[in-house]
Amino acid sequence: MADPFTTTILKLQQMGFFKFLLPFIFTSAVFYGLLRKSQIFGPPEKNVVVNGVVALSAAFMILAIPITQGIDPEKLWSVYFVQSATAILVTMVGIMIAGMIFPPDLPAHLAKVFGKGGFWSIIMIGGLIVGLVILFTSGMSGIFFPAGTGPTWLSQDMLLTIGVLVVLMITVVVLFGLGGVTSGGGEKK
Amino acid sequence: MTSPFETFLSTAIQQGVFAFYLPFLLVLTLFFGLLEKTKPFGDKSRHINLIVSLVAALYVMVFNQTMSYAITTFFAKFFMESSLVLITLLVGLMIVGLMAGPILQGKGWGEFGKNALGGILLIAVIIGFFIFSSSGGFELFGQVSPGLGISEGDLIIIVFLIITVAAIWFMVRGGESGTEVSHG
Repeated sequence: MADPFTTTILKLQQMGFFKFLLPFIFTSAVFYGLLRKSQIFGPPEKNVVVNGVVALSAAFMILAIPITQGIDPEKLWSVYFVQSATAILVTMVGIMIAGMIFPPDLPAHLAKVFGKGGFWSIIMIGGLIVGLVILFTSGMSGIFFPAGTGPTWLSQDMLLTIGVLVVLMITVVVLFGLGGVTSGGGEKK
Repeated sequence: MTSPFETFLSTAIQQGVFAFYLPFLLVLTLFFGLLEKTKPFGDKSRHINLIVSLVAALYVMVFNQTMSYAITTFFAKFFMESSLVLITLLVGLMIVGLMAGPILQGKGWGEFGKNALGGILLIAVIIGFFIFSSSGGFELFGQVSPGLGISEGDLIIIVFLIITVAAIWFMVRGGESGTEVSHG
């Protein structure tokens, strides 16, 4: 006999809870929360209806995705959240290991020691890379680039080469641009 | 005769406590705690944080049902190895404390400079990554094939791209600091 959790999950799966309802709830909560925070339509207390309508419209669009696009959000979201939780857990254990040596509230201590230096840029870039890796390994990137779409006249190798060159060019322009600003400022002094 | 602990644990395993309930609880707490700390939805957003973390936890609970890989195996190995590493470090620190006790007393290692802090953080990240890989993390991440169909060759190119960008970054930074030194 199956355990109560499996029975409940199977029942919920049959009802489309994970395929339709959860993406709807998730999208409406995220959109509503971000609309409230960003105050795009003004103070959130005065724009509850506007924010709510926009968030619900987006959530209803997401609700229809499994039927209109043929995407199964259940598998994608479950893999994505498991991998995200794993990444958070690994970071947490790393902080616990470092916390054995350093004083309480390690993030506050790091902020005190490193101030506003390049250390935080490295942390931010690292976080973004981990996020991108999870996006690809969870299969979520398939939503952006479904199989059989895109410019067919460009081969994958060509696309990759162009991507690499663009990234390198942007890096060089940004870094030397920043360097120019810094040296200019130094000359003025 | 089986001990009451064995009976309790085998019943809990049969009832899916380890496969479904504990991952659910863990992810719910993790996500909610971090959302409350980082506040991506601003202040007074406790209910939104709760909904988001609840949805994430429910999806993690359904993972065992949709995927062939048992998440319980990974979590069990991961926490076991983490606790082993922490205990090993604790014993190491106790031994260090035997010899360097008076120096560290009341201050802790937090008084050490940036270089020591950066080095220890780097070691902690490496240990975390080692625990992740040895507890089967890569199997967990390799469940779904990448959407773009990235081959091993492409991965090598991406790795070298990151190395090149990092090298350019350090060269530029090195140049800037060198200029500052010569001016000083």
